[in-house]
Amino acid sequence: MNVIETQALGRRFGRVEAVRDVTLAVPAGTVFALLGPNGAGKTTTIKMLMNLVAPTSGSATVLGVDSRRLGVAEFQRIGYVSENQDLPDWMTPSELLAYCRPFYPSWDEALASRLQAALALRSSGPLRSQSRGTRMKAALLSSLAYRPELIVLDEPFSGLDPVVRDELVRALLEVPDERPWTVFVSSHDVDEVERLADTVGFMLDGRLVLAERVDALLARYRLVEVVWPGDVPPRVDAAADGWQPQGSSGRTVRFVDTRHERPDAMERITAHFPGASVQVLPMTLRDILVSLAKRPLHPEAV
Amino acid sequence: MRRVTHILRADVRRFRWPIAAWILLTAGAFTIEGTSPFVSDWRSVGSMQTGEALLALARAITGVTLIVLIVQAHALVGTTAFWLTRPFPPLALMAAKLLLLAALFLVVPAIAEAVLMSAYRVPPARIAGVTFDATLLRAALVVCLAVGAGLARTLARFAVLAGAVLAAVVLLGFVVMLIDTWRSASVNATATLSVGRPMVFGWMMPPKDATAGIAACVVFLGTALLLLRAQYRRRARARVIALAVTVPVLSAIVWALWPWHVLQADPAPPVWARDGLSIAPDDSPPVVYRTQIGEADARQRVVRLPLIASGVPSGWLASARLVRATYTMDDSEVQSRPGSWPALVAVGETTSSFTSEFLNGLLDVDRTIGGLGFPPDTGVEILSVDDEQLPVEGASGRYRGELEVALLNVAIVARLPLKRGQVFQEGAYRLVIDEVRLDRTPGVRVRVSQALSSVGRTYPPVYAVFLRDSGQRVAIGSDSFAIGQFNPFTPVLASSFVYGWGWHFYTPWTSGFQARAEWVTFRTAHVRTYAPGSGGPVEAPPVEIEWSDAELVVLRLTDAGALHRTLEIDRLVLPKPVEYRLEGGIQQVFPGQ
Repeated sequence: MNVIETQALGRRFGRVEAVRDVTLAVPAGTVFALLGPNGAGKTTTIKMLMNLVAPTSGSATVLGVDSRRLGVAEFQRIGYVSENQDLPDWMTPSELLAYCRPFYPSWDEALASRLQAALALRSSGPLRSQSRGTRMKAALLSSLAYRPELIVLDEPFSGLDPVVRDELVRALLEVPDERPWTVFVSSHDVDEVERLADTVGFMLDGRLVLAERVDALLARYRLVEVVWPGDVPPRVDAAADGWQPQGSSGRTVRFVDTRHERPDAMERITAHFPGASVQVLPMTLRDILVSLAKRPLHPEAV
Repeated sequence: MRRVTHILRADVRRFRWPIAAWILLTAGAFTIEGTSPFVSDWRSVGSMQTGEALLALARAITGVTLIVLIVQAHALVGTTAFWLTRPFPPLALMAAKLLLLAALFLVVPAIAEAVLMSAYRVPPARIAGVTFDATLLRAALVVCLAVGAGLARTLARFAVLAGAVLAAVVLLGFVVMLIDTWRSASVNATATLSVGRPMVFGWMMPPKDATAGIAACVVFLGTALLLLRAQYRRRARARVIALAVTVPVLSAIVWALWPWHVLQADPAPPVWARDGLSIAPDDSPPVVYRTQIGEADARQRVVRLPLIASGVPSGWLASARLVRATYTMDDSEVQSRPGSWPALVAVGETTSSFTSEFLNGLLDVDRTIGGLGFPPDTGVEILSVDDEQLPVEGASGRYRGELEVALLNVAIVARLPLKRGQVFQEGAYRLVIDEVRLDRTPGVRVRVSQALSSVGRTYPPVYAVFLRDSGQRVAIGSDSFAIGQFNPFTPVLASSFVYGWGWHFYTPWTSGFQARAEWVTFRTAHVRTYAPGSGGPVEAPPVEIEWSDAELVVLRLTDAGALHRTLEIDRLVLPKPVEYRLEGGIQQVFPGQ
């Protein structure tokens, strides 16, 4: 069962098309990371999923309900944390928890206490006088203590120091019990997400250009360096072979092979560059996304 | 309900200091309102008035700010509010907000005012009526502000929005005024009387019917609440703004076209008047004059004739106003337009100085100086036609007119010794003598309180006071005709829209209750000059009297309804008209001049 599904989802602000034609599915029990540079449309997509912004085209369902109709029952099963959210900052963290508690029948006080300890969250003063990290911890804690089925995090690690990031990730990992839970997280911090996510989506200019399991993606992408024995190396044809040119210097050609999982991947390279010295390098998620962001994309090349 | 109280408690805790400030300011405002009539020293009065004005300003600013803050604590616009992605039932949130707003802005002032009115011995039923009026208006205002606050993200944006709305309201007020003018014109054109009778006895202005105002207020409140509900449920700001325009428009339409005047005060005329009252012309010849109000208007010819009412018992006065009339000459017939103004009808044998005689008889004195503020006895307007409809040199013909005769009962309701602490109370009206001064210009400082409500269906009586010395059989009227009846300085814009301009001077932040101190003086050297032929005294001689044995006589003037009478004159000779010139934009008629 998919916890989140979108069909050609789009949102236009005046003449600006912030999100275009986004179709994705997030199965239950997965951690889906929506990645992309600033302004790619990640936050707008999440806002549409959370019924904060109405789509101008397409549709989305969350927990099986049309996102436009998300109500009390659904929000009792969703935990949402965003860097842009206005917390009731006149409350202390403990007051925030006490304030949220009556709205959630599944509130787990023991879990709340455990998370509070794990996050080292002290209730020393109102949130407005606390650091950004503390506010994010409080927001996360108030969104996890009722064991939501879906956790939606919009740029949760932005601007946080590594220690706090680590605490937040550990807190997220603390939650699951026997019930399946799903995380949908947007970020441009690929390293943190890589620790959590099993599926990533990559948005660029309002489009979802990629949505795939991380292991499959890592298996598929390789950086290929070819040293050509002659003077002018052959052209890299991206559309035909799923190769993304990464530039060349002298006799050395670099490209990303986006279909390196294919059995004949090496044969195709050596056939294209006969007699050349070929080096195939694994890519990190960051390398993959940077390569996607830098190059003008051709759908077949992704 | 548990969630409602949970949200409400959190809001109370968050805004505890502004809420405390609001409660203190409200208590302070009502305390000053209640205690200021006790202050006699002019300097203290000035200080108190300044304090009262500053307090009112502080209260208005605090109130509006608090309403906006309470609503915007859970913002209805934007995408970043905490509650939007939490299982807050929107209607529970709205209910929590409305409950808190109602408690602060309806219950707190109502309690404070009820305490104040109780201190001034206002009867419980009237307290309930005043509270109903004030609460309805306050509720409409609070919900209106709540809707506005819900459409803006911050206080600053609300201020901008409020400015724009105020500009729109001014425009709307102009439109409503036009509608009202159009309605008045329609009423006159069909020669029927409007529901609220116009000025009956000069300064006595009957209240308009409050039903339309209340209905409009309820419609305003209901539609504004629906809008608020839509905001909480859908958060569709553009749609709500578009719909918000319809709220005042719909209310204005209801106000303008409301057909059922359930609350119209319509006192039934006394039994004796139904068969016994008749009117007849005096022996005096009619006064005919031409008048022209504006350059473009046609010249009009107006005929006035002193009338005498018979069958009127003592203690009663009557006025008459032309409803319609026909004047039939040998070769033509003219129809009159309704009379513009009522005038007193003489009671008894003669039309000359009958108001003075009336007061002498009522007060049992030989001489009365000053009066009840009635206009000079100028005769009743019995015909008003376009000038060219009548021959230039005058005319002769048969007259038949229908007049509305309004009755006023004048009775002594109290005789108070000139001593501090003397009290007169009737219904919600209370008059207490706080200070007596018996020098060349005697006077009393009185504390007057009155509570008026729109739901009473009665014309509240008017009270006037006279200083009477029974030994010397002289009485002097005060320089205040109707003491404590209204406060002309009270802002009336909103209230006149709702309740009509009349006795009811309400504002959302005050109400129909008023208490104030007033120096009532009696000018012993009293000279009044009337125009020749006006029927009143030309001069009242100076009076030098020792007033230590005098008493304060309180008169109650009660509007006792009106009935129609026909006036028929077989041969009414109209002389050549007197040319009347309008000077300085003020039209006054001095027949025979």
